[in-house]
Amino acid sequence: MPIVHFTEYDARQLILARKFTFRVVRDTTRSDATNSEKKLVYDVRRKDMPKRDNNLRLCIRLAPSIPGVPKPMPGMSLQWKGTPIRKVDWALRHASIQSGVPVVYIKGWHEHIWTDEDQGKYTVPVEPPLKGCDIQSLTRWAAEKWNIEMGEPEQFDL
Amino acid sequence: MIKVDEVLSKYFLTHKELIATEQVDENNIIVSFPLHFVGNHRVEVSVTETEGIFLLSDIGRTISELKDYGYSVSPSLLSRMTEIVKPVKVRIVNDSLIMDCRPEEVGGSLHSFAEAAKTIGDAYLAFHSRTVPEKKLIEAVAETLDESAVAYKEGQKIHGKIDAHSVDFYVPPNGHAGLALEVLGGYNTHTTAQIWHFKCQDIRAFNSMVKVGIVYDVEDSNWSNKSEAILRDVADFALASVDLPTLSNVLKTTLR
Repeated sequence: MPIVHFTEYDARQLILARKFTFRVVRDTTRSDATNSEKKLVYDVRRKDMPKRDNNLRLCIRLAPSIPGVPKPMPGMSLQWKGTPIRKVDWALRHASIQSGVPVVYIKGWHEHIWTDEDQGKYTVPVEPPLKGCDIQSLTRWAAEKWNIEMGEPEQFDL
Repeated sequence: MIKVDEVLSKYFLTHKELIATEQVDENNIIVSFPLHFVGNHRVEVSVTETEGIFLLSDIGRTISELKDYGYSVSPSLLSRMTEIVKPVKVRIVNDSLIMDCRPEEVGGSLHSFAEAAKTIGDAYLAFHSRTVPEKKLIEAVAETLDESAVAYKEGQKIHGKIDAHSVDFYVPPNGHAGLALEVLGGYNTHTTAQIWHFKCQDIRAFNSMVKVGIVYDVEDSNWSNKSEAILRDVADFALASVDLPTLSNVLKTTLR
């Protein structure tokens, strides 16, 4: 776990800022092999500073599956300088930690919100609920919730 | 008089309340363990019945958690994890931890499996966090740099001749000497010192205008005389945390 060089306030301001996907850094989602990892990474930039790479990445990942056992759920994170400031994933049961104390248990899809005290341990149920359990549904949810315009890479050149 | 049955029954009752399970379909269930964590998540294990054998899987969660924290799961890292889980007969297949057992062994196997997943989490996530004295030391160094009116960037990756290096503070050379300043602490201090021997040389080999400074925590970490000698030998300055009040003077001399 790297030491972070920003605060909860900085992270919240970054979430509120209007952003767009500048380019696709990595895309292995088009591979047909069911037993390979699917990963999609976007370089996300602020609309008011489109030329500056803030080291903000939207990463969506689906672990490879094994025949016969339950299929893994995809997970998604918005990473700033390598630290997930927001993260969405699925768990059968997950404790939401506030000031170091578990306050509530969450079932299913939840969002990790980076805070000064608890870092990624503070979680809330995903709101609005996800419309599906696939990479596309997660991407659409992130776009809406985290203020990211999902466009073609060429959009910036225009 | 304390009674074994009473204590055990309370323990089992609490465990039963905290554990979570879900019947996925007629062949699969998922068990969520209350006291075993990998990163921020509980260890959750699927149990699949197939031809009279139970197949346990972490549904790819353990390695996913490592990847979420920025680990590039290389073949060498995979082989180290394989060695960690091998004693309890857990295998790593397609980024998932896997174990099979007979139905009568499933209780013990679930325990071993959860422990194996937790051990990987502890080895690669828990012990890599900075210690509190180290974090405080970083803050104190930042304060000194601010007081000395030195313009710096925090958490920068800088070029070396052979490799790139992450440093806690970077003062770019701008006509005057620059500075790459790292705060060191934690475990394996001798190895850390040896690593920084290379890093110092590599950074300066790329740009001789960049000097390398080290502040090492002596409050929570043990540095042998040899380790300290290695740091002092190669860095432009190496200060023990107890000597931090002298840092501002050292900066004046170094950045001239």
